[in-house]
Amino acid sequence: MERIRILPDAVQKKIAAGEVVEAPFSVVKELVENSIDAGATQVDIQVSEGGLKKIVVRDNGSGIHHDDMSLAVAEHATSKIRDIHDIERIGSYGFRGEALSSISAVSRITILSRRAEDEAGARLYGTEAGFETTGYAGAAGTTVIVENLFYNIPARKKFLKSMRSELRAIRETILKIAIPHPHIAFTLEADDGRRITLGKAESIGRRIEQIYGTGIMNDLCFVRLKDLKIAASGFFSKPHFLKSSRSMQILYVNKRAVEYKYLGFIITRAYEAVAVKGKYPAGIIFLDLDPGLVDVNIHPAKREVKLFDRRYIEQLITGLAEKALSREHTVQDRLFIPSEAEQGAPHPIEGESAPERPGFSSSSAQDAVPPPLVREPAELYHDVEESKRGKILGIAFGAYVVCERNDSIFFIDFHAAHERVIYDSLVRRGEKFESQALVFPVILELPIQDHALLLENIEKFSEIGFDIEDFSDYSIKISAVPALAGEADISGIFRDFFTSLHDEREPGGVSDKIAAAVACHAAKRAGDRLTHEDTDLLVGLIFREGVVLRCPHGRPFVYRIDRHDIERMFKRS
Amino acid sequence: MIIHVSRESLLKSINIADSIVSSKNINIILSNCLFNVSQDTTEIVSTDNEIAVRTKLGSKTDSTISFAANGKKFSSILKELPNDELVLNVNESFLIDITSTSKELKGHYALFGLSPGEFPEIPQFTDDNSIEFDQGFLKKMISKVMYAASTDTIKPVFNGIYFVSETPGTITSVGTDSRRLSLLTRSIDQEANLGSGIIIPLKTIHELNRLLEPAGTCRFSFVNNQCFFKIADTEIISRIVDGQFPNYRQVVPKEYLFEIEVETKKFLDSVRRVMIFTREPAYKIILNIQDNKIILQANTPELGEAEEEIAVKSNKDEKISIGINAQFLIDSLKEMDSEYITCGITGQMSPLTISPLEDRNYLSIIMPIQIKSSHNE
Repeated sequence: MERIRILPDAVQKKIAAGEVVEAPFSVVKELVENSIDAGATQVDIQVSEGGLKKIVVRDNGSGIHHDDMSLAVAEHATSKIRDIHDIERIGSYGFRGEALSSISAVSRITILSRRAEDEAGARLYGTEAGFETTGYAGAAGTTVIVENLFYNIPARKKFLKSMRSELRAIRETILKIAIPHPHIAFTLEADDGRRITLGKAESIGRRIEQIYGTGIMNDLCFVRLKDLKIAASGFFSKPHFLKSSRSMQILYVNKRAVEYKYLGFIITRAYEAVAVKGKYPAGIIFLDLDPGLVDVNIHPAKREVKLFDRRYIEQLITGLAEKALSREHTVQDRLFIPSEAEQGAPHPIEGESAPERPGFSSSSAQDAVPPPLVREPAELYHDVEESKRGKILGIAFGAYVVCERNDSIFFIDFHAAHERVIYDSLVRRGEKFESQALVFPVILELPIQDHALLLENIEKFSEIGFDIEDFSDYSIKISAVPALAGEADISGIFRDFFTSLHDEREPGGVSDKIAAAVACHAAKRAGDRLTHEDTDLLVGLIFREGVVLRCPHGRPFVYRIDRHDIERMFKRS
Repeated sequence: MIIHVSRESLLKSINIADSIVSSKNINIILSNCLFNVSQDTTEIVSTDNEIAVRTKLGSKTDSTISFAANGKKFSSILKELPNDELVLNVNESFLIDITSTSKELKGHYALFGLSPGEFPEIPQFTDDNSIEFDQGFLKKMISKVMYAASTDTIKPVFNGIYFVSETPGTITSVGTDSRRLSLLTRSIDQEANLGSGIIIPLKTIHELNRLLEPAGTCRFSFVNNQCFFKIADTEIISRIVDGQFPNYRQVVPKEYLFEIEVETKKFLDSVRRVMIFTREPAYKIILNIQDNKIILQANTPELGEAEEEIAVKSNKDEKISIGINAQFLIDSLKEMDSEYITCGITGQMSPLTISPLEDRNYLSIIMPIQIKSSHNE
């Protein structure tokens, strides 16, 4: 039996390094993050043989004081925090003081750095014996050269994938870091030439456009929500834009790309109504919050973070995605650029009484009530002064209202829009609501668990206009229905209500689900006769400010084509 | 084969038969009318599988033939031809050659017909247990209550008119969409054996209402799940709605809190004006009844408001406010053919009962709309 002994220093270092430096891309990530923390505006990366032979990261940041150079590679040495309390308020990427020390443990490292205010900087390089420092008089900023990565850990080297896939991982790492930093220029050179060229961009939107191209950018729309603690924004797919992988689902918390295993699930759920199975909407999401509310220090590579209130964050992301979906979707949404450019400027929180999003409605008592989100009016309405509903051109296929308004053509799914209007008037009924008594009460038989559920929620039904009594152990008597329901199929309403109540994926409280079921059955359907008055009224209602442009089940119901797009179609522009 | 026929009667008969043909029918043969031609009669048959029409007209030919043809196309060309006798020449491949005997018109029209082969067999009128009605009487029994029937097909029992003989020598018709109900009882001078009553589908009712004339008689009979009407040269064969009609008598109030007398036309005109300031589907107006007057009010956010006052005669010094669907009120008042009506009031959440002043056998019952306040009232 071997005795327990403390491992030699070099072995300890290698083990610790293994957590931070798992592959060449992690070296790149750590070094580029250091450059950003140093306030660089230009970061150039060179890699050779997938980074195994050589990685060079050069920046024009603040540089390292020549006297501190030898400390840079020491363990737990950092300029970014001073005491333990700073960990709770981390504003920089690094703080653990591990990166350079870990990298130097598994490679040959050379650091060249000069601060702009100093005449001479320092050069530090590793040798067999240790580190040596000499003078350096090159350009201001820091250059880190990492050579022969993992030369002393053959086992790790064996696990690395091919050079090609290492290079791809490096490229993806740089792009992911580059998105929230549009003001920093990035380049990547590999053995076979230039792989990334990102000039300074004026906004995150422009940066995404640089990376993914204008075509994809036009398939995304920008949305934003904010409250006192958190500013959330993101670029989301328009309903038609779906990818076959989740590669465009990225979550940034305070500009740090983090892995959040529920992200894909949340986005997919929000897009359930429009997304096909096996296709994934894009969602590049930025959460900016008080650093005290995030715990970054749970993963050595900081890939995961702990958020203060997972449920709240999930609701926030769902809210963003739903907002994105409820916009009118156009062939080309040119509105995102101006609205995005103002990003970064602190926004005063508007005191307008914004309509509550159904999911956040406080009427659903069993929901933990999150701080209310302030919903900004959809950008679309900023430039619309006249509240004209436009000119109704007709009804296509007996189901879609076509209308001309403000130099655009709108297609409106009548049934879904009607559902939304009825739903809204049921949910925001105010003090009073109307209940139509029935000549013949409807007796409904229910499975025993539904019967119990219904009796539990009988108040909520009566708040919407139903008059329900317990009739027997398994049946109920309905003697009045909401007047707005008209001649709707009452048993259908209850069937739909129970289906959505049992479906845990559907958001919203009991009252919302009742309202949604009523709205669905009361709304006119494709094929129903639509009078001019009906369409006129409906179109007028949905173009008012604050109306969510999705039906209560989540499907969007407005599609816009700009005059500009039509002119382009006919080669007139 | 040559057929001589009057253009006017052929057009009229085709229109009668074609009116029930649904253009949405998946079965191609059912989007056509069947023509059974014998020496001195042409019989035109159509069906949508729920209801069938068989109508006859005089024609001359020397043999017999059956063919199917699109009624809409057939009637379109007939409509445009002068009113002279027609000569139809139908060949073996059912091509119908139409010639007008008019001297003014030289033309040639040939309509492709179909083999009658797949056309379903339509049952014949059975005279057993048949009842004879005056057409005008039956038309009233139908038209006075049909407005209240549900146009929605979700509840088939309400998507029709219920006929029953409550006491020997009477017949009652009832229509309801579960928010209102209309009921008419009339005496007849014969036994009407309707068993526990039958429900005739609304589509058949509409067809009957169109065919029935103010004068003349018609016959009615039923077996199992089918009923038959014979009106002049036309027979209607319809299925009967399967199901139990609810106990409507229970709904009719036995006594009222109070009653008011209103001038029918004044009331109707008033409701029409006030209703403009309401919205579908509730069309809610408020009737404030007190001190021998009704104040009608409508108030719809973002639309506008209206208020009107009309004088009434009340049998008690009572005061009430009732919310009601103005469209329902109009539908009822339109059918009241007396100068004055009585309105029986039973409460805010209880039915409003409207009858002609001197006729308590015709009732129109409307359930009110209650305006509730949410929470801690």
